[in-house]
Amino acid sequence: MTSPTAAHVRTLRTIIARHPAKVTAAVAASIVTETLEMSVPIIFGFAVDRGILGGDLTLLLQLAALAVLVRLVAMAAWSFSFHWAMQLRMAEQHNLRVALTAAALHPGSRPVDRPAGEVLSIATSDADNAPDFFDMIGWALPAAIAVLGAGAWMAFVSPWLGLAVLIGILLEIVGLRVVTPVLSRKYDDQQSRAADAASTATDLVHGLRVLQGLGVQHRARLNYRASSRVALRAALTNARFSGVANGMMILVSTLMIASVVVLAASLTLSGAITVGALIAVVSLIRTMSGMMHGLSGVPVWWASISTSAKRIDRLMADFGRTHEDPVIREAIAASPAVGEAAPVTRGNGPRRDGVGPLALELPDGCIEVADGEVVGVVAPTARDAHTVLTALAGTAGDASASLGGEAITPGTLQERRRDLLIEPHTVDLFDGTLREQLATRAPEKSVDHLDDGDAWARSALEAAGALDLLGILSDGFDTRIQDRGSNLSGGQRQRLALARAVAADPPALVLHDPTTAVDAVTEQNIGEALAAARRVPDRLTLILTRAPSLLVQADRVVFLAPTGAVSGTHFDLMERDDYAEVVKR
Amino acid sequence: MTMPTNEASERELDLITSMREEDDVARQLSRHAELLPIATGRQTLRFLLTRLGSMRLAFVLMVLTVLAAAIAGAAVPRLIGTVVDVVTAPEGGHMEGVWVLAAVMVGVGVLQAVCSALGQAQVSALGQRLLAGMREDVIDRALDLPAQTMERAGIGDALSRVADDVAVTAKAVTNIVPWIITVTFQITITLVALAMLSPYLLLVVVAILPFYIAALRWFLPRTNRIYRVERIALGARAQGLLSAINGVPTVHAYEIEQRETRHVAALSRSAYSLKMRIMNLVISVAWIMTVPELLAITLVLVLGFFLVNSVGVPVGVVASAGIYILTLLWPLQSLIFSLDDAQSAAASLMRMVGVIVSIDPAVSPGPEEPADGSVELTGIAHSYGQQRVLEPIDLTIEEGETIALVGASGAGKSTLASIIAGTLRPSEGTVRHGGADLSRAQLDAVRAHAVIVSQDVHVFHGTLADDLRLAAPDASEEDLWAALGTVGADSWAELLPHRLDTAVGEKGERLSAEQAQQLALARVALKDPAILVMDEATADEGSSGARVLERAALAVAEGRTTVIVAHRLSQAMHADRILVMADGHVIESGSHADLLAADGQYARLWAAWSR
Repeated sequence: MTSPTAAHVRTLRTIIARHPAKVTAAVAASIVTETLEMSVPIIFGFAVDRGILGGDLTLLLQLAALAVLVRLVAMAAWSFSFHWAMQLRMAEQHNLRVALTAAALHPGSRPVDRPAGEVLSIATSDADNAPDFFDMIGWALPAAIAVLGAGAWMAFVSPWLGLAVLIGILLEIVGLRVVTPVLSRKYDDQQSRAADAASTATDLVHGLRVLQGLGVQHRARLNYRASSRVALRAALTNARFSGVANGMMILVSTLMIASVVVLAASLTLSGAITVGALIAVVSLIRTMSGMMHGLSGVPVWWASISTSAKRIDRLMADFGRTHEDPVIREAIAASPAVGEAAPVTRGNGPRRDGVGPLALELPDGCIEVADGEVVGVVAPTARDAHTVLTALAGTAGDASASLGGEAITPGTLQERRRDLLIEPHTVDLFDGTLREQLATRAPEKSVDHLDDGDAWARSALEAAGALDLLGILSDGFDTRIQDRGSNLSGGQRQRLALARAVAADPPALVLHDPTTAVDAVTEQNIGEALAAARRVPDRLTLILTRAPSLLVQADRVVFLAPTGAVSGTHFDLMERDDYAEVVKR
Repeated sequence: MTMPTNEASERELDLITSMREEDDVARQLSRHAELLPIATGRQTLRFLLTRLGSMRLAFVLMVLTVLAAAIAGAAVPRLIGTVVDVVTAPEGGHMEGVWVLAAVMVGVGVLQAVCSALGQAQVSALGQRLLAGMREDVIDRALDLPAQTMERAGIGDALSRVADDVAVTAKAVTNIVPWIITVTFQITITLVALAMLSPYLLLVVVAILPFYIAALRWFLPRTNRIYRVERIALGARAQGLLSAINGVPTVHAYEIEQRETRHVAALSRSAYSLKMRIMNLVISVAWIMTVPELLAITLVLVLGFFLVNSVGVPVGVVASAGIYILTLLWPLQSLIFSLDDAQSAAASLMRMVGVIVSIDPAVSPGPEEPADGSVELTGIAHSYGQQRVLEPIDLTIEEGETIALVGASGAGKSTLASIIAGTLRPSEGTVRHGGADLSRAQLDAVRAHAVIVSQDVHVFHGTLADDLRLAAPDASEEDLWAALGTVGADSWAELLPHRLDTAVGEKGERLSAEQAQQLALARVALKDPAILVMDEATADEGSSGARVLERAALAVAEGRTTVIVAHRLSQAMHADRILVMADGHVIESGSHADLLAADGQYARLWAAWSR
């Protein structure tokens, strides 16, 4: 565990450590650029003195050529350092994003209790922001060196000039130390107000159908306007403060320029320095103050970079991950090239053999599902259903489950899932065509088998009562289903998820209320087709449901009555009043 | 410590950036194409000018202040040049002159500082006001987006307009727009000041200006195109990330964490390669802009030689000219770098303006107001594109009547329900609420009159009371509790840590699906509409509480004209009239008893259901 104060160092250290050579080269090239740029005013001063005042055209042209050459070399060095810094910055923005995604999705990561929107914002804005570090060290460090170098040259010309410059720099630093915290605070305030307004906006759009259904668009509009106005007020305050800070910087640098000019003028008059040196000094001080003005923004910049780095670190730590985890490194290494689509069937193995039986030890009895069986489980309360599901996840305190005689624990679940598919009740669909949806985990053989074309997909749709989708969707199996299935209705999404589970053909399949968003007519069809599809000798199916049309098709129904689990056919159990009460709707 | 894997990705990166890959990326992203409109540059400019027109006075003041600051800034090099002249005066220099000039310089510096402070604040204020107005307008339009558009586009695009685009623009308005404006003034004034030093130096200005203009004309169109594609890429990336993060349980169940990570990585990589293309263009344009810089330095020196030695211009003029040129280099360079963000913001701006100017704000189509809770449909039919989903139908619903729609998925139930509720405008036919033709009715009256509750439940950010008051802003606490009581939600609401003031929604207390649906029904009770349409309102019962919700729905429907899209026949059997639908037709209609007696489709369903 790293101490919290050093937290941001971890992410930044990681991203630098990945490219030591390139970082060094970029900074070195940038130092060359900035130093050479500082020497142009000096060359200019001497060209005026010796060339123009001295009336020596040849020397003037030579010095002009030197200035041109220096600028060209500086530009070349800049091109390299800029290109490298940008490459590093963008590569690391991408790498951090992939790392965060991999950490969020990997089953071995600790689950975090943060809203999806927050994880999204860290994986987008903060991952974009933290690598600005490369941008900053690639410019700020060399610029600071160049300013100090120019100051040293002035001290060499005259110690008094050096002192004036030093006082100017110190004044600026003191000013920054006073102003920066205030500015950061105002800036943060503005940002967080803007974020509030943005999240209100996002919230309203997410709830758009609800708002439109209620006809309360006007009210929603007023709510947003209120938070937008709060954000505006914070922005205006910030603008006033940064305006004043900027004005103060201008004042300090003008004072520095004026005093350097007066000093240099008196030195020239007393004959201590030449007119050329005077012109060089006054040109240089002007260039320096411009650069110092740029540098004055660095503290605020750094604050925003380190805040982002800290947020990334904390999220990674919450996931129980570090940047050096093999999982993370592999994810970064495996990220595809441009234009290469993510593979669809990658990792889908051959058809798995049967592994039954699936056995659950619950506080009030046990459930056993043998290979070849389709068993319905009726849980009278939400708590009972929850017990069944946590037992299957291996996380229940008072219940357990085993598959093929081996106990299911959180540790083995990751391996187990090849044989045991627990279809979550909440439907999640991912971007891809209808065929790709169904192929999510379908065994390779059924997908690649050319002779029967889409027969496998068709039969999966049939088992889920979803064959009508083929008629509704304009391009059949090639229709693109958007992320989250946003172009389908609730019932269509649920049936598609069910078809996906059937197509996966897992040896053991657990379904949790798979037809809640489906109408009575369709549910009837699903009951028959689903049981027929799953009633295969080495396949077992457990359906946690209270829908009679599914239960009636099951080989056996286990009713988790408060007095203890009882088993029988749907019709047997219908004799019991408590069962009938639960399933009759 | 270098990771071997990263070496590979860097090689790959070099390869990618050298390719002309926009087309590939564009092809990959075409699937994420925009469905909401994007404004053209001209439209956007006209829009901004119109908006600025309404802030004319503030705009003029801003220009004057920034101009004053730029002029004061440009005076400093001139003063420095004069100091050089004083020092090198042929009759011998003297310090008094230098002191006077230094005092003037400090005075000018104070003026510049004050004007800059004021100017920056004014520019920001103007920008922020403009932005606030625009983001409010975007939300305005988004709230009125027709249901049909939303169904086609999904909410992804709308979300990226109201969130991402506003954020990008806001960042630019805060960080770089004030800077770009002040620097542009500075550069212009500096060039003017340079020409004013000596008419000969006008030659320098004339020589270098075309290069800068050419550089911009080369740079802007190229990057502009990339930025537009990039914005789409960013939207796709956010959508992919969000769906992966939300779908973690499914990702784990199907062992597709690697696939989904790669999916996000591919989308991220598209955005990244586009950005790298822009950076390479930045390097090219910086080289182009080096030409006028070098030309300017050389010209000032050579011209200076002749001016001083042949025309007799004092050497201070040359010094001033040199300082002007050197002063210009830095702002010009950094201007290019901020163009990057500025253009990104411009792309966002075009998307925001696109929504504002192309989507008409909802206005009342006419003055008619519903008189009672009856509904009358005449010759209603509906198609999505080429696809007919609802065949012509006439239907009259009496005030207080309860209608149930029964049928298989895709039979047209939801379409008919939305049309009855007035949220979907049918392709053909007339809908009347209480006698008022919806295509000629007063908007607020209609919205207050009919409500549709769909399966999409959403708990809004804020407190529980805020959420409920969306439906009835003026409701008292007693009203809120009464509504919660009606739907049986008071029992759990009592137990929330701060009762009505408990934060709910994504950042607050998480409510179960059942509680969220109860909340949806409580909003209806508060809204108190005459016509209530419930589409799948009680369908997604999860594993418990179906009956709680069913009771809540019945309680809310009490005394209203009600249309229920029935997924359970138990919901249908108590309705006054049941419409059985298939393939966009109503095939049977009548009460539960009538339909059983008719021994048709409904009777067969019922037999299967109740066996």
